[in-house]
Amino acid sequence: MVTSLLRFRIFCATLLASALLAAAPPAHAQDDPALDQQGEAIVDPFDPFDFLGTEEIVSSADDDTKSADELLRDGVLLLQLDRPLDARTKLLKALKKDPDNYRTYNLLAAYYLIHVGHYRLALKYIKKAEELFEKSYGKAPYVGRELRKEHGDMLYYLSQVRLNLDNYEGALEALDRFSSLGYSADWYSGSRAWILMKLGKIPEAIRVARLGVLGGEDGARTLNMLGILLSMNDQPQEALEVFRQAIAYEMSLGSEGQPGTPLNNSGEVYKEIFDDEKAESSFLRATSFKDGCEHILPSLNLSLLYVEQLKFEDAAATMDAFDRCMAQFPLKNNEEHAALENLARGRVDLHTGRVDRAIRRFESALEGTQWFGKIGTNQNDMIAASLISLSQALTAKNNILLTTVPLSWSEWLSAKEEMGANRIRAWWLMRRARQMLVGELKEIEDLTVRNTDSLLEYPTLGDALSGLSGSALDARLGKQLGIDRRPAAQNFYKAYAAQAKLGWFGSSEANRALEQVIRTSRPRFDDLLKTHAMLLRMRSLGPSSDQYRDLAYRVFYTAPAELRNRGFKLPIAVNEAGLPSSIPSLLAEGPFYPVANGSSLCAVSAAAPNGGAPNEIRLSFSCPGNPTKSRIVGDIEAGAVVNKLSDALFREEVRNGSDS
Amino acid sequence: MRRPSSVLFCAVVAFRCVGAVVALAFINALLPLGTAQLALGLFAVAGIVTASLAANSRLTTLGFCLALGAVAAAPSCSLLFLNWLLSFGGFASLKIEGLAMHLATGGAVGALGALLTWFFWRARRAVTIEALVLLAITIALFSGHRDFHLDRPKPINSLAWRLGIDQLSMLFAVGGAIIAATLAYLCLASIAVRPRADEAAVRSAPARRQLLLSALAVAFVAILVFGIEKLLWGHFNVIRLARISNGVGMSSESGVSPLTFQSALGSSSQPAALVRLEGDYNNNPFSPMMYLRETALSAFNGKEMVFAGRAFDTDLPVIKPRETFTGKEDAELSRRVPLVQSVYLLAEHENAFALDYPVSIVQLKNPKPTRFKGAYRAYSIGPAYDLSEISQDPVGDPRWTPEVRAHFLEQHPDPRYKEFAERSTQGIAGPVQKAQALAQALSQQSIYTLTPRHEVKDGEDPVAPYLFGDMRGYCVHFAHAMVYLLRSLGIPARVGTGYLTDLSQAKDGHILLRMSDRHAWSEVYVSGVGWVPFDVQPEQVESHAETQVDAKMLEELMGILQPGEELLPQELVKDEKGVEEESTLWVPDRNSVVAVFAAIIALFVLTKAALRHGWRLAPTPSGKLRWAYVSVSSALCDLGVTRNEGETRLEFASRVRLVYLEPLARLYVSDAYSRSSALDAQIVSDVVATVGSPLGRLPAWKRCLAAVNPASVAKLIGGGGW
Repeated sequence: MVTSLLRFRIFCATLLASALLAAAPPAHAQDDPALDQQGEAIVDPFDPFDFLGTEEIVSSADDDTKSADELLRDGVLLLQLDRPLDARTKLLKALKKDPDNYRTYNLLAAYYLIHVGHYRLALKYIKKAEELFEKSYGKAPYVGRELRKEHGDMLYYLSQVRLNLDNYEGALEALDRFSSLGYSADWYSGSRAWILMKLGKIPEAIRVARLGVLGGEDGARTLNMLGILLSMNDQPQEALEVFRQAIAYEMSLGSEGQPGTPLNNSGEVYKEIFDDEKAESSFLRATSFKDGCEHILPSLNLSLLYVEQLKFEDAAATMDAFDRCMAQFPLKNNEEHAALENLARGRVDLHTGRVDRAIRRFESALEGTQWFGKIGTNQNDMIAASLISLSQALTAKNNILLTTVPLSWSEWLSAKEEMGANRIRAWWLMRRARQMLVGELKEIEDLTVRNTDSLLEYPTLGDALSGLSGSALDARLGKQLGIDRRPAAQNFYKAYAAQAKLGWFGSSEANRALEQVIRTSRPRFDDLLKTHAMLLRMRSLGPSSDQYRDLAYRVFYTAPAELRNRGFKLPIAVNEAGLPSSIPSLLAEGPFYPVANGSSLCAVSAAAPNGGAPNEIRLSFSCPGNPTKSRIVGDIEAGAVVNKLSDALFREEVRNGSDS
Repeated sequence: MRRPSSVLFCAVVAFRCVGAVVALAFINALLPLGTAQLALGLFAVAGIVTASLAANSRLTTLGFCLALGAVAAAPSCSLLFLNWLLSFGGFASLKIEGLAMHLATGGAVGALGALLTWFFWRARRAVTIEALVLLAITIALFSGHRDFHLDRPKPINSLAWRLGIDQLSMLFAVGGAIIAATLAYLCLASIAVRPRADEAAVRSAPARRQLLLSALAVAFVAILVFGIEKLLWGHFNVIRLARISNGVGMSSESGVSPLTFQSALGSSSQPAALVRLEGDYNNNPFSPMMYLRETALSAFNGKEMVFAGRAFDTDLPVIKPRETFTGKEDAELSRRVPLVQSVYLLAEHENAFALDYPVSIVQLKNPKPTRFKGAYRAYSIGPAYDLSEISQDPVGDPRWTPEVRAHFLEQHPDPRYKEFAERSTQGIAGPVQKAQALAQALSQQSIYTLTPRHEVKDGEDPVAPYLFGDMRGYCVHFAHAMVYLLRSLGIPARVGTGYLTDLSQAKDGHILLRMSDRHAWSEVYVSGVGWVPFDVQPEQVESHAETQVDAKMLEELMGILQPGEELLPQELVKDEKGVEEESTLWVPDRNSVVAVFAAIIALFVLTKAALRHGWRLAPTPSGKLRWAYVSVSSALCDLGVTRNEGETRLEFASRVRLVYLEPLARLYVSDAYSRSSALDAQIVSDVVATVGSPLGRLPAWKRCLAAVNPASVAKLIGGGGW
């Protein structure tokens, strides 16, 4: 879940500007600003259409002659004019001129906290500001409204910086100091509740948030917080009600409002209670607002929801829209969301057969740095999800290599070498993921299907769980079934248990469970789970069986890439007329299973030449009753043409981000 | 095998344990094992010690392997069994499963350490195989550094980064350290598992032959190291040259092209420079991209575009990064804004670069010479036009002389360029619109690849195989093709080179330029606006360059540019959590590394000196005699002549046939075994005087070799036995 980052930024900027403008010398310190003896243009500070002052402030020509206070004032105004780099330069000049002014440090801390997101640097500045403040006015408590306010603001920045550095105890300590000095502010309860939540003190956090709401503190922010906490406390309906109030409150603010945040949060709650349609509509609405568009979580949630529905095109388009939105903020780099974006895009690539790109993306996700202070998840969730995904992608890559016809000995050899390395790596990564799930993630605390904090892909989580010993997994699943009564979640747990039992003594029981999952999964919303269950069921069936054929074609028509990713072959009929004699055996080497009497199956036959090379082999693939699956490919080499056909059928064309 | 002395045994075991712990630290840093490093270290040490003790017993290899398998697997298997038993009572737990996983990892690490140690003691060839395998693994780990992939392996990179050492030098230093450690290991191993004296081959080998064999071995290693070093250096040098030839740090010599059409070899993520924007740049027409020009190629030499000199390209500063430049602002140019940039070079550059139309470049104080190669500030007049606004504008500068105009319109003789251009711009009126249409057409048709592999002979047009062939190429091909096409339509154009960077990856206006950001693009002169880039951005991409900027590196560099310790001391945040990223590897500072190396070298020199000349300081005749014998023996040891197992000192002396050794050995033995008779100081003095400097009579090259040979020091560590 997400706090309102933009709200926080605006809030901080306003807080800072008001404090510093009050403290800094006035911009028009002449005797009388209405008169100008030289007859030059005069800036009217109350005229909203008078921008003449701006260029004057931005100009750096006379910076050398300006005092530190004047430069500080310029910096504040430039920040208000949304010219952060100009402001930063002015502030650094002011710092050079007067290195003992705590206000400059305070302002730079806010700049690095709000505009840049460089928290380590912001921490240094705020600590220095506090040190100089104490040097000037002694130790707290302070007398005087302005001093108390300035000190309170510093403590707020300190708590926010520490929160962003994942130092929750430190953040709480700053707020404790704030309250012990008798300060008050409308952000206090919301911030305190959030930090308490990060420390796992949910009931206390709920009490604090409720008090904040009752006290009328910063309406939407505290409501949001309360909603998140209630949902974490297993009170989804109460949470949704609170979010509804927050959305209404934000909408009432017009263009100033930020309804994206409560909308995303309510979407997450809807997702948890398996009300997918409402979840989708909430996420869609969230991404349509400015604050929802510039933060990755609504887009990520929506994208993952689409992946579960096998709507890969929509999932990719969601992330593209997010990228377009982020392009509006050239000053921010993508550090904040790169790992999450790579994870989401990688999953789309994996399920659409673009496995090489998926591997690259998962590797980037693993290497990416992420500051999780602002969102409700943590780095271990991210790492576990990436490890599982990368392992799945490497296994898929091996299955693809296994069904790719080698065109030369060297190609065969390098494929074998790659497969060996991939197998070891995939095993190791999955083992690490299991170790994390069991250890760092506290006995798979995220096993609750659609746990908001988790980034696991629940429909295919069984891949990871099946490596655990049966007795321990059974015990854990039994415990989970005892606490999770959501009907739609039951199929997920059944599929996990079945996958773990496959290939052992409980195969028949597992297959029965899988068939039940296939039958009872919700249409559309659980399509990925259903596909996964079908693929698991196919493991126990021979490719010549009717049930195999039926399942293979159901997967082929909905998520074709999954078939090849999992190493299954598609039964096809081959019309050998006009085809080189080697083609049937090469097709069998590829991801196909040629059958003799397959009149109702998709068929491969020779295609008419189209004026290409004279010795070109052209294959036509067609399915009775499904013209969308028809493909024609050609190449001069028989092996290459089979590979081309495999790619054409088992790799979906989804535009998924820029590669250049 | 013979039983080694206890000192030697302990030395070998300690060496192996330390090696295993260091190797585990590296492995854990590169590939997190998930189990606490301390625990894994203990498992490894336990395995090594146990195997060392077992290897000196009567246990057979089969018995050891069986026992090892059972011991290594027992703890985790027992836990899993326990979990299974508990499941009947409904008490099975994932916690036990997790513990079993940790024990399995530990068991595997311990078993591996034990197995290698067992074969170390039991099979002589295992030492060589182990050393070779370790070297191969090391090379594989470090191979990530090829093509300047600084992100892999990270421990080496972060060490270099923290110490402020060039990454390439660090790589070679670590390589050297590993070779030294391997040699020390082999040296120790050769003493520890030395064959018995009764082995015929060894016993019969005369000293001279042994020396020859040692010399040959050293020569072989030297040739091998030299060859590898040469290969590596050559590899990096090629990349360096390619980097230069790809347009960065190019030579600004008239009539020369810095670009290559073969392959974009230097497309790595190696950091090249840090650019800090000192002000907001909100009117950037190419946002979020930004072009930083270094130079431009406007002359056509019949084959490709080359640098023409400032006679034509008057807007270019063409200065070294350490020079200053003051240009004249072109008053005719409009729709441009002033922009100040500070550039901090992380790699050497031949020329300064900046956002186009730099008016002045001044030198900045280098904030950290160990990190940056140089720093300057550029004042530019950057583009602020709207591309749609200038689409109807005329091209060319009315102030140009006919000669200059002809220069920028010099065409390629191949008529196909004109045909292609006319075909692609059919029905389009204005020159700027034509340029846009051409860029769009090439973007749609081209395939971006770093290795186009066109076969182009000397003197042939390197662009034709791209444009009239497979449409595969990279920026150099695209830029040249655009210029030829534009000029064929009467539009003045040139190739701009420098960097193309993505501002969306910048932070606080700080842009980390990498070698992969190097770029070449085409430019058209639009009246009243100046040179405007018309870049081809292919929609189809075959090769992938690194796209993610190293955010940690960027933050660290930003930190250097912030007010220093005097204003923001590190002390401020010393008690704060989350400020310093937890390092999985202990990284010593530069001074400690130098101090440790200096201490090792000093200790080595002192030990050698003590071995050679210690006899001079001995106060008693007996001590003098003993030390004189050690001096001669250690010198012989360094020359490859040592006493065999079971060989007496007198036998050794007679075998070696050195005239001064025999009387010395006899006296030494008689002194050692007949303590009743006191030594005659005069006799000792006479004998020792004949020894003098034991190496004095040898050729200089042998003396040099013996002086650096650590064999005698290793033997001393291993318990002496001269």
